[in-house]
Amino acid sequence: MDGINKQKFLAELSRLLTFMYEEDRQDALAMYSRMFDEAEDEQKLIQLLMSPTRQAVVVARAYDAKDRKLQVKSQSREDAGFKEDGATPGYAAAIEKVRADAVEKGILPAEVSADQFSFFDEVEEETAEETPAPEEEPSEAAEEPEEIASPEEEPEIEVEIEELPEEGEAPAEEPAPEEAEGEPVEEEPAVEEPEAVAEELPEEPEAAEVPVEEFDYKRDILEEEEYPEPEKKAMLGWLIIFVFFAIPIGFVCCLALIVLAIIFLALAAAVVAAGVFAVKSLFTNFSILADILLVGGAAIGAFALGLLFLWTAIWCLFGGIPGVIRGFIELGRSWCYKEVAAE
Amino acid sequence: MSKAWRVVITIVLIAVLFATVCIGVGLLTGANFSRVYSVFNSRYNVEANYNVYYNWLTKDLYNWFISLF
Repeated sequence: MDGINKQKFLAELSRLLTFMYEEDRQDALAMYSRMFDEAEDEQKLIQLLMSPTRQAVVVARAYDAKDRKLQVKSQSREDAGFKEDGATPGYAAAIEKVRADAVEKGILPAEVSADQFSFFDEVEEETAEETPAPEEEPSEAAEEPEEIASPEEEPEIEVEIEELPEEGEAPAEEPAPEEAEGEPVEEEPAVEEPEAVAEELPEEPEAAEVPVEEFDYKRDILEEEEYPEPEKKAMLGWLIIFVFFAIPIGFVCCLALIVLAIIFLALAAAVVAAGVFAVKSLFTNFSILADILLVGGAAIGAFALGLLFLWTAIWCLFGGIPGVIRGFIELGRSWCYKEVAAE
Repeated sequence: MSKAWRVVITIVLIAVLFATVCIGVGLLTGANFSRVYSVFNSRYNVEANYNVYYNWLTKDLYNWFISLF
């Protein structure tokens, strides 16, 4: 986190939030930008936020799944045919929670004055009215979004961040040169031109490829950071008691299974031997067909029963005993180990 | 293991069915249990062997088991 500042933080965050609709992303970025402006110590706030990746995960968790920008071409909710219900979105609540945390730790002032809010609400108006010098920055940002993150003067930050997602993601060639010329931007064209670009976006295949990669990147982050593997810690006391009882009980169970297997093996041997004797005497001692059928049927039955007994004995030895051992191990794992969240 | 169980049970059921058919047909065509038993008894001396094993189980083995305690 060394060397990161507001601009870098927001630029990185902007890059990570491409799975959101354009309006939502700008909203989220504006909220973070506001937080930075309110912060008395920027580095402390960055320490609290930890990293853009972490904040992207926070937003992604809270971002309603049905709201996700599944259609790559739809850059805004209007394109996707969404109707807003007026309720506070989940991601906004999550960011507010982060803000409340910062307020609690004294990084942000407890209450924001009305002036500050009005300052940010009127950012666009101010930038339109001010000298053309600040307008040159967004034009550079339009060409290379990564370079926007380079340290700039503080007052220009809001302007950059507000316009960065619109221009940085799409190949916004048209609005950039106009701004780069240094002409004072009037309010109406400044609003209309990005919309025009946004309308053109879905038709361009190049613009459609970028969000897919970004989305995959975000999913990787979720897999790595959102679901850390819980660690298992042994409860030594319980483990010793369990081992003390489990070993003799397990030994008795295994012994019982071995005895059962031997009994079944003996039965199988006896029944198969009876079948073999029956078959042997079948054609030598019996001359009546009815008796031959009867003895033959009994011999087949004896072989079937012998096979069943033999298989039961094999199952007791090779399925039952390992099963008992496995069962005791699983039982010990569930009783004597507790899951601890990985740090 | 469960697949092996299924195979074994299938084979056993088919064999038992076949044995039942054989015994049924034999009984229907005039087979007689006492005649079959007498043939086996004369061939393998079933009754004498039965008595030997019975005595070994109920007397010799039992007495040995009791002597352990």
